[in-house]
Parts: sequence; C-alpha cells; structure tokens
Amino acid sequence: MKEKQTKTISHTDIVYTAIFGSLWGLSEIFFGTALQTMRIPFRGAIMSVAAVMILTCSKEFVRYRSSIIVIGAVAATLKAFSMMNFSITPIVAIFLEALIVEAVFLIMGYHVVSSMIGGGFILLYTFTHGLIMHGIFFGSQIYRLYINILKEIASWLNVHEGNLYLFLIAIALMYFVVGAVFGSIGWLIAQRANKIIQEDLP
Amino acid sequence: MNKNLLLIMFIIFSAAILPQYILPPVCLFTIALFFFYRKEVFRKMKRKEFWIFIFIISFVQPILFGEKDISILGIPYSSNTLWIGISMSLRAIMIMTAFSFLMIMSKAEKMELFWQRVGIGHFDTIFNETQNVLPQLKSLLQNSLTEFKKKNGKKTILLHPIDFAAHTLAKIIKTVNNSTNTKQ
Repeated sequence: MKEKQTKTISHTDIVYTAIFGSLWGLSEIFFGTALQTMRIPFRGAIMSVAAVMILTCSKEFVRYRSSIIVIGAVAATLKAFSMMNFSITPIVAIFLEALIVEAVFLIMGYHVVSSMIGGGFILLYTFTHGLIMHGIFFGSQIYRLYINILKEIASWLNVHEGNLYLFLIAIALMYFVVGAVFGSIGWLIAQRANKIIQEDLP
Repeated sequence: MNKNLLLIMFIIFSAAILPQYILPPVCLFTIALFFFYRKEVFRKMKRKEFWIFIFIISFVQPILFGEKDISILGIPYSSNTLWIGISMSLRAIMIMTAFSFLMIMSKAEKMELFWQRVGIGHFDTIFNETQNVLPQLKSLLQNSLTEFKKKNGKKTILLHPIDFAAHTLAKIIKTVNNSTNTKQ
C-alpha cells in the first residue's frame, strides 16, 4: 500500500512540484548571479534564506513524501543548465538543503515549529558548509590549523580560548535563529496564500 | 557505476588514508597525470584567493606555528609544519583537479538521467512540467508586482512583504493551475 502511495502522485502535485522547483531554481540562478557579480558578503546565507522560505512554503501545497527532494532535484537541474562551467558544489548544496528540510518534516510533520527547525538547520548547514568543504579539500589537518589560529587570537586578545569557541557557537546560533525566523515567515506566507486560494474558489 | 566517479572516489579515499610522508609524492604524481591528460582541469584554479590561501597554509603557517628548527633566508621555520602545510596544499590541488575532471566529464543534460537512477520517480514528468511553468513564472512575478503596487501603493510592499509574497504565490498557483487544467 505504502509503495503504491509513493508511486502515484496527482497531476496537481506534479504542477505544484514544478512551480516550487522552478521558483527555487530561478532564485538560485538570479540571486546567485547577482550576488556573485556585486561581490556581496554572506552570499551563501542570503541564498539559503530564499531557499528556506521556498521550501517551508512548498510543503503546504505538496504534501507527498519526498516532495522537497524532488523540488531540490528540479532546482539543481535548472541551476546546472544555467552554469557556463558545470560545477558540483552548488548542486550538492541545493540537494543537501532539500534533504535536511525533508528529513525534518518527515520526523516532525509540517507545522510552524518544524518549519522553524528546518529553516534553522539549513542556515546552520550554510554556516558549516565552508568548514566541511575545507576538510574535504585540505584534510583534517586544516582543523588543527584553525584551532592554532584561534589559540593565537585568544593570546593576542588576552582572552580565554574557550570564550572564542563560545563566540563561534554564538554565531552558529545566530544563523540558526535567522533560519528559524525565515522558516516561520515561509510557513506564514504559505498559510496566507492558501487562504487566498480557498477564498477565490467558487 | 560511472568510471570517472570511481576514479574520483579512489583519489579521495587515497588522500584520506595515505600517511603524511607518502601523500605529497602521490599528489604530485596525480596532478602531473592530470596535467598531461587534461590540462583544462587547471582552469578552475585561476582564482587568486585560492592561491593566497595555499601560500598562507604552506609558507606563513610554519613561521607562526610549531617548533622552529630550520632557517630559510634568515627566517625561522618549523620543518614539521612546513611539510604538513605543503602536503595539505598538494592534497587540496589534487582533489580540486579530480573534481574539475569529474565536472568536465559530466554534462548538465545527464542530470535528468541521474535523478531517475537515484530513484526520484516522476522526475521526467515534473521536469517537463517545469518547462511549461518557467515562462509563465517570469511574467506572473512582474504582473503581480505592478498589480500589488497599483492596488495598495508602493510602500505597502515594504511594509507588508508577507502579504505581497502570499498574494504573488496565490496568483502563481491559480494561474498555472488554470492553464494546465485548460491544456488537459
């Protein structure tokens, strides 16, 4: 029975998945290019905020299991087609973000709290994305270098090393809070949009 | 499995398990192979930020950290940190060239096939639908912006962004739904 449910999705689901996949793909292409050209800092975080709003919004309309992963696949494919040189990093990032939100909704269900947690985790992933990629490219030794740098900064500033770790945790928490706020905004937009659609129905 | 993907996985796996003293020559050998086989893999490494970072890791780090046991041009260096820095940089260059190689060999068009293989059902149907949706989206986004401005004034978008986003989304969903229902 379960297998049957996952294999058959309605035409409306297909259309809604296409809409949200296109919206995310367009925002990735548009913001990605614009922010890159303008060399604005925190590009990743800004793009993730857009992703959080689209994804938390989408689950209100496309409720079938793994719908967000399909939306991510559509957005990643659109992004791949738009790139002059095919690059794997943004594709992986899009897919991982979709996977995170889908996992949160699968475990917690869809409501404002899960939208906030999903949004928070996406931004948290954005914060750690650079560190993860550095680990892949340079190996685990890079983390020792970062720890040494932190120790050195702590001695220059004459503060305890632990305070700098606390500072990093505070930044990560800030990212989580920003993601949670935008997750709730995405959920709110979805509720209002759904209400407008229901009101217009004959 | 794709043989290029296997090659990349082998390179990353080797970089992860090889001991520190063997890694630099292996990396150099792999980079040289890529250089003779596919020079275009190095095109992606033109960014100066990357080379500044490599320089810091390889040559600035040994001045700052570790036990200083050698002197080069009168500057005290830590030979152990220098070796670690160089091997880290070579590892990064090797993995980057390996990824570049994978990207050159892969094509965006193959992604559709990849999603289906991964088990994302209905991907082809949904992606075909996306091609119908995309042209409508652009004009719908522009229309709803002008419509909302006319109806509520320019400032309302900034004052009520959630309302604006909700109206735009509702309009997109209704219009696309109607047009696909008509086509059916």
